[in-house]
Amino acid sequence: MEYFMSIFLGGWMILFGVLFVIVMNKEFSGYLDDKDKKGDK
Amino acid sequence: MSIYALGVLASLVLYFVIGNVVGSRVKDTNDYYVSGRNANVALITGSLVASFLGTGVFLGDCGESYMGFMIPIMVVSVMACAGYPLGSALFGRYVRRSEARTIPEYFSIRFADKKIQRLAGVIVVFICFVYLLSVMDGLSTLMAQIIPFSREACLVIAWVTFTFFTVFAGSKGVLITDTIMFGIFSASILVAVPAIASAAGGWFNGIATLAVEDVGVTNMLAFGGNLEWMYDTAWANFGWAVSYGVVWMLVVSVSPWQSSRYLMAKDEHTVIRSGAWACIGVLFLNTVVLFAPVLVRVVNQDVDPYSTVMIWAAMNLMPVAAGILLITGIVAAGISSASTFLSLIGFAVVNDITEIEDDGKALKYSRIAMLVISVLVLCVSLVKPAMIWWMTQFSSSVVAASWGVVAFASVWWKRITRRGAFLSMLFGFVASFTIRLYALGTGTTFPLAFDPFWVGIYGSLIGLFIGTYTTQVSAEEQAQLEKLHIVPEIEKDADKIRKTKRMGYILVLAGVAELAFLVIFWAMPFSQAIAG
Repeated sequence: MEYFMSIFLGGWMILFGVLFVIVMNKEFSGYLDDKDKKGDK
Repeated sequence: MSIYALGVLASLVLYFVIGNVVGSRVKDTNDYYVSGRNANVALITGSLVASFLGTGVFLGDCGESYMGFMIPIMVVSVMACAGYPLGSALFGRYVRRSEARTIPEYFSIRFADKKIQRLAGVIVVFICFVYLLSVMDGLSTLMAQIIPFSREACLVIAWVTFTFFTVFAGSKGVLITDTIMFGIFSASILVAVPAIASAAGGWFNGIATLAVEDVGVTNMLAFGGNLEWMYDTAWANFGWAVSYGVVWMLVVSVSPWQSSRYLMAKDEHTVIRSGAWACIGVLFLNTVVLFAPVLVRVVNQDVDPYSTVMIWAAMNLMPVAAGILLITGIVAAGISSASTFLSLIGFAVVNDITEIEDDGKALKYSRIAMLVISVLVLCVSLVKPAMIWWMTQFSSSVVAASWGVVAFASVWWKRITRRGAFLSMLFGFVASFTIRLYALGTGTTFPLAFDPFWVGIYGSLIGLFIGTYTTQVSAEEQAQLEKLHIVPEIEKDADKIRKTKRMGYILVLAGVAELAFLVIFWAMPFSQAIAG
């Protein structure tokens, strides 16, 4: 059970890290692409 | 007077001086309430962690861990950390965008309604008052162990330290002293844990001893913790821990003493990055510090009262300099939380419950309100018995139940109306408060589904749906919601966006590190010792 608990707690943080990545990508990717395109020009 | 007492008194003088020097730079209510809204990532992170890690952790949680409840407490702590990325990304940045000076004022702007600001202000005053009492208990318990004065005299010394710089300097002083104190107690944890492990015969020997030998408490480091402490089955304790993990995650996401820090950030990227760093900081510090009281049990099974286990360890198991650092760090954690709670009460009374338009008068009355309430807190603290851990649980579950639903719905649910928000907050508060009071008064332990927090959440949801579906969203509310979702131009900087996005990968790495730490330093040595 101690291994289960380690995986549960580590996994909990990994899950929220992944969710954070998804939310930030969704939120900001449009602006980042626009800026990069402007920079290329 | 012992060298520990001199160390603590010297640190109190330092906070007092720094806070008051900063206070002399406060020009208006913008400085006083939100520190000029120009704080960087380091200051916001420091304040977030310092407001969260107080005497409730160093005395309350560490005491519970010493009595064999460490694993359930660790579950609560780790789950709570997720509240930082959740709260900063989905609530905090929008609160910052509203340009409110307090969280109750944010609700007022969002729902174009002063009534909800008053209700939220009353809840802030009530919750922070109870929480402040708990911190005062912790500080006096701690100081009375090391300073040769009565508990009452220690209370007054601690009170003077945080009251005067908080009243004088407001958020500007609190941000800077919080960050200094964050540095001090982080350093103290890093020094204390290896020293205590060494006194217990080394980390792995200590874990093995706790696993197989009689240390006065059964199931010391097992999955469900001590089965004579709360519930009598491991899964019931795990259920309690997960339930309170959710409570604390909501507290970390939306409570006034956490989310109000975001109002001081210089931009929204600072809000999001600070939330992520605070998550990593609390995750690491909280996980490590909870092992310290457990390892103390290898050496001494009779620390009394058990909430002073870390003070006993500082004075008996560590080199003098490290012991001074640990005790000073615990005091710093308490003072930093106290100053945050006191400032929130003062702001709520003047900005949210009453209406003072004139800036000069608002500043003056905020200071007076803070001083008066602080005197009241001192008087109550002097006459009531200490109940650190339960008072912390009390206020956290009430704030999570009354604000949790409304906070996220205010940003993400288009249909919510001002009446729905008001009733949700009111029902959540009344339900969780009355049930919690009954539970504490009669010593009743409810089944998990009827824990005061969940009853509060049910009440909050009922209020939300009744209020929302009996009214329509007004044009003002609609306009405020649309405004809230317009990203300001300043936030579209490509470099800032890249840095903010990178924090997600760092959070994933922190989760991997947590998993590896627990397997290597707990699960593996514990299981091997049990297997013989």
